[in-house]
Amino acid sequence: MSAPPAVDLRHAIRGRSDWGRLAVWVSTCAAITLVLTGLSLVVGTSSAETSLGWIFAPDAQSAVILWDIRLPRAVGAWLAGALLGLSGAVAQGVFRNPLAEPYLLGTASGAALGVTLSLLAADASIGGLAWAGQLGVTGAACIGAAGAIVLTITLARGVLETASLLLAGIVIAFLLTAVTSLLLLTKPEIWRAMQTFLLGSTGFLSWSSVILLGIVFLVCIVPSTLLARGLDALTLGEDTAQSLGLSLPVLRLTLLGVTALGTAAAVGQIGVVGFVGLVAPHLVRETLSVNHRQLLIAAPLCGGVLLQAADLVSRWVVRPAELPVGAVTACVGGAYLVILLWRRNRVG
Amino acid sequence: MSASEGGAAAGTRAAASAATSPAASAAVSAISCRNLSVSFGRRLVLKDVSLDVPAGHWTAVVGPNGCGKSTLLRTLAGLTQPDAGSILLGGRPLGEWPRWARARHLAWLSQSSGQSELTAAEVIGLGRVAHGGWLARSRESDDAAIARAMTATGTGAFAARRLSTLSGGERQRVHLARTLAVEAPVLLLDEPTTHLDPPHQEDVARLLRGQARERGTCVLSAIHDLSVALAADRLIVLGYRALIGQGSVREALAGDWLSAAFQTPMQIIDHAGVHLWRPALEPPSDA
Amino acid sequence: MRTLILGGVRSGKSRHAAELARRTDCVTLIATAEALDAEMTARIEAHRAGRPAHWRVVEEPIRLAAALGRAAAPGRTVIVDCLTLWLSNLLGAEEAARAETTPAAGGLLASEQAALLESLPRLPGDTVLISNEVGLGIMPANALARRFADAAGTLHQKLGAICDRVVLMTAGLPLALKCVPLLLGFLLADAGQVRAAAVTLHDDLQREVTLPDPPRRLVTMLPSLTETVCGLGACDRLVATDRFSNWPEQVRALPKAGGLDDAAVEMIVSARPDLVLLSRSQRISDRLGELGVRSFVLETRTYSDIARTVTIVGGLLGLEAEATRLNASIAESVRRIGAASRAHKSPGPTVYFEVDRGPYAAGAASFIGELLARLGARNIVTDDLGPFPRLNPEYVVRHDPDVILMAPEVPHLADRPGWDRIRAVREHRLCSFDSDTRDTIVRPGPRVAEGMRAIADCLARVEP
Repeated sequence: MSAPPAVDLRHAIRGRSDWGRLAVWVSTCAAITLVLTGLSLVVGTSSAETSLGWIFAPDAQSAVILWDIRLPRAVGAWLAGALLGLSGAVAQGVFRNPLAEPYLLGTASGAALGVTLSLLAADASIGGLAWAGQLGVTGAACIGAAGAIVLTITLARGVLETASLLLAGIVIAFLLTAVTSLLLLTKPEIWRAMQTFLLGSTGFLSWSSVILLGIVFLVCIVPSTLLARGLDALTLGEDTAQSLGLSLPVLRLTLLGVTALGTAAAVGQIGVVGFVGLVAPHLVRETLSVNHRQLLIAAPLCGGVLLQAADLVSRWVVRPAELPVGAVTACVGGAYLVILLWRRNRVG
Repeated sequence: MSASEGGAAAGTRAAASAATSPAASAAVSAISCRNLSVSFGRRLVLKDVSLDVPAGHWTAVVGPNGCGKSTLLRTLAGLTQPDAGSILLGGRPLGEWPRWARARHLAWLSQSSGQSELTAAEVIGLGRVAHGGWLARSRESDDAAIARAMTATGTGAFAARRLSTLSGGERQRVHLARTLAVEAPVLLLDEPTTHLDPPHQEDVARLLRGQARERGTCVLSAIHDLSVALAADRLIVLGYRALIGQGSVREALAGDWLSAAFQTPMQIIDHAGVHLWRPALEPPSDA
Repeated sequence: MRTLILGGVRSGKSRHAAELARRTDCVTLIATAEALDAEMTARIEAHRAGRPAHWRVVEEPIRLAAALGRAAAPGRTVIVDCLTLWLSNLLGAEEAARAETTPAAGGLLASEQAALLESLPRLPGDTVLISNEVGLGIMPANALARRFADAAGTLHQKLGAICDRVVLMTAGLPLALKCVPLLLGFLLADAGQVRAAAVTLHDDLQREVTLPDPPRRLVTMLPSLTETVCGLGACDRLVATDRFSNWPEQVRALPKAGGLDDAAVEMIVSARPDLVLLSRSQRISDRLGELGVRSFVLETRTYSDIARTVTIVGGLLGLEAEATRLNASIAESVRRIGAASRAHKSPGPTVYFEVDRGPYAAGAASFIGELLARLGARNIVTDDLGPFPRLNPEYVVRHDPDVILMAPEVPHLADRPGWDRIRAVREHRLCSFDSDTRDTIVRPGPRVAEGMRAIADCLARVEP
């Protein structure tokens, strides 16, 4: 075993080249984000010329539209996408499965049930549910998502068994979806509002949503990146990770908590937007050779850009009407996965 | 049948003598266990196993398939909870070790390490997690340890490649390097030579012997390949559920522990000090 | 449907026409006879005594096409008794004119005949023409009689080509000369076994649905259809409804056969309906078809669809008169409420109607939009956006409506980004409706005027 030159070794150990590529990736994402945010200001129910005019000579109303509607919407969409991308990357790491996604623990179904209850309560004067109506869609979605995760973890009897967790997540998702469907059958009037939620909607993102999403994003990104090496270790197997000194329960609970919090916040604000959480980490892995610290930095950026772009498309295509943003991400994400599959098949 | 019974009897005697031999009990064992029993569900895998593994030696665990070699190593590494018995690591009960300290003191190589998109260097670097904690390694000592492990295993050449793109042998060496990078006093290695061609197997054997002799490390490895295992300093011979014996290779051969363990006569040839297993299979007639 | 009944004297033509008209209550008889002498007066009297009291009778000896045009209406059967006398009246008038050498009267026969043949295919409702088959004997010796026989024969040929059914009566029995597949029904009707006539209509899936007689057992799978049936006074014919039908009170007790998209097919079948009324849902109509249950699909989307649905359901149930009456009363109520609306001062308030969070709006193209327009309100959601578009919420902020109407009340409207700046929100000019009222607004059925009144009341209340 001849030792290669020491300089090469040090280079390999530090892996500087990959950090360089990550820097390129991050700056590209940042640039796209800036461009998309700029575009977001001029795309809306008015023509681009009118919007540009507003930017340079705003009146009271156009100022509200530009700075209190379009800008928080763009920023909020980015943050929600970033949260989904981060949650997806974390979930894929925790479950050691590249097909894992943030909604795996029953979050989406729990949030849907919460929203259904709140709509029912707001709609009919069902006495016992009055509090749910007060809570509003956002709060109800958050609580529903969090409740679903607690149920899943309880059913799986902790976080030690990956297979149990996945199975419990599926069971809980099915159960909660069934309850939601039953409720919807009794009250079809709320179906359309429900559908809006299930297909995602970025229309009502406000500065307070942005602040909430921003705080949650910070709360999530810090522990995730700190535990990134734990996720790296997990790729070598649970035993190996444990032998390296990692506490699996602590690692899992913290990271699942991050996924849960991130997903619940995003779902609460924009509804169930699919594919961002699944595709964003894949896109990063396809273009960068990354460890988890790099992935957890790059995937949120990618998710943010994806959802911001989807939001732009959703309000531009049929303006002044809107497409459901979830449908847009599903189209784009689905197409990407098909390409990925096709390429893999060709290579394999 | 008679041979195996004789072997088993010899093994028991040998084990008894090893446990009481002054040489073994004089030095504090790097890792030891008493009356260890492990079962999976109703299946009892290890029963009443007591061992003392000394530092400064390379000890190989041998035995037939399914006799519990991996289970023994996993239990000693604290990854499987025993039903009964105690384990001492460096004279201190295993359960009393703080997690990080234990990870620095005892490195473990799994028989099957997962697929990973990490680069070889990153995988090897994970060996330093216990030293640096969660934050990224940045210390010179870590880099030096990683460089030493890479040099020792010859993995520097593909350090920047993703683990998933490496061959089985290269991957195995990367995992071995990761274990070495911990620079722990105790190495528990489950089948470190699988996937390796004979020259690389020899490299690993040399490496393990060197680790033990030069650095005083306690190297305990499960090895199913007898020609590699017999190059170790000491043998722990496991039969089904029972410990046949532990001691030097010479003691093991003298007591015919292998025949007892495998429940079939095992012929070992001594070829100028190199011990080789001779299969009973007759060579082809035209050979 | 146009029917030509031919036959000899006292062959049972008028009676057959009366049989055909029996399935509807809305009948106009155009009598062409002129009581010129005592004998004729007696014949007319005898006819009058033999026909139902509720028939309207119009006497028109000459201008038949014009009379038909006036009398014909959807759901109405017009009987012309008879063409023979009309022809002879025309010939007589021509002769008289020729005697006085009035050039204007020349060609009266030709022009009136042409007018009839031209207008007949375009008449709404059903038309039954009765005529004597006069040409069976030998060629008359009299020139006027020959001319009459020629004219009648030619007219019959042309009418035979235009009409959907041609029946020859002999000895009180009809002989179908030309027939749509409903002949059997008519023969049976004439045999006295079934008293009503079949009706064939196309539903909104473009399927031809034929009912041999008015259905007695109905299932409705949409609240607005249930309300339409009950509005026509046929509530007692319902044997089951969908889960959501809750008006009028008496339908609440009926078996509930699920919703449109999760219909309890078994329950529908076990209710043994003659007809199932439903909205467009291919799955259930196909399934019912396979099971041999007759269904009729009606889509009510726009305001004018409401009247169309009432007319069609009336036609299906054999309640044309009720349908006409119901439509007239809906139209009258809507007109009155619209006229009384204070919103008509110009310019009316700009309004935004949110049917659901999304936000989904009721656009000008929807029937709610039509009601708003009739109330003088100006919908900010123009009709090019479709009936119920999902809007970019920014649109509402930009158009800054004076009044916001919500089907389900949206709490915390001001929390939506920028919405606290909307005039309606700022000045709290918001309308929301309780669930019963909401039903009248969002269901395109006969209670649409009630919903409109609720909207009008709220607009009046919140307007500055």
